[in-house]
Amino acid sequence: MGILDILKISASALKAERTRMEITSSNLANIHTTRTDEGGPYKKKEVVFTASDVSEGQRFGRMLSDRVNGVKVDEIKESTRGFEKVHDPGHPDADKEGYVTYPNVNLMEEMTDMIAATRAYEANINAINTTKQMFLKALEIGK
Amino acid sequence: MEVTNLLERALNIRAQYHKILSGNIANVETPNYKEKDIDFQIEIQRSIGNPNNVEIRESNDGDVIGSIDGNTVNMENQIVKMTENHMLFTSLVQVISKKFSMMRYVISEGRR
Repeated sequence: MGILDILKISASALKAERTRMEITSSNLANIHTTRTDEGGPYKKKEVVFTASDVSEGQRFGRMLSDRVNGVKVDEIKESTRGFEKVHDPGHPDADKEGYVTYPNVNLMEEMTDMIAATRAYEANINAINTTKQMFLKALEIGK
Repeated sequence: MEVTNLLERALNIRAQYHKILSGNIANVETPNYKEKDIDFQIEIQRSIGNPNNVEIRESNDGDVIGSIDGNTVNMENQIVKMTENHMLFTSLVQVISKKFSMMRYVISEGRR
């Protein structure tokens, strides 16, 4: 595995964490959305990551163990958790008993998810910087 | 002089690649902008005849899904490619300066 593959792995992780952040923001923005195109309140979205080979495919004679495992977003799924019901008879979307169905988004959960995504992003940036430093240090051998 | 020549060509392509990556990053919010890229291996072969022009193609590893405005620039990838380009540029500079210091050594008949 070359030093440039390490950079590709970190880049794929950065991309994946950015997507996760986008989804979290979308969840937070729609935390009180009671109407959607497909009807009903907004459903919480979740990203599912999978390990994937990020190296160039045309490299011949590569061993299976040389597979470069980066990460990518496999799919964005809707959470199956139940909606939250709040008693608010004055709300235009309230049902006959006066209950409004709000999205299944939990504020605390989204906030912690956001922190986790930020930290993971930072960690990968650190990995990139360290890789770069290692490479540039190697140039100083024999100086 | 062949090695120096090759190094010069490689440095030239690296410098142009940096320009292309800067352009991509600058256009990260431009609607319908498609990420640009070059193939270094092909360019180094091609550069023998025409040193100052590289074939810029649309990249196929950009953000294909996810953006509504048709922009395909993958920001993180561009920054990492820039880092990679910088690293390789620095090493090329190192090699070329070693080449010259060898030459100097020979000119001064080994006395440095």
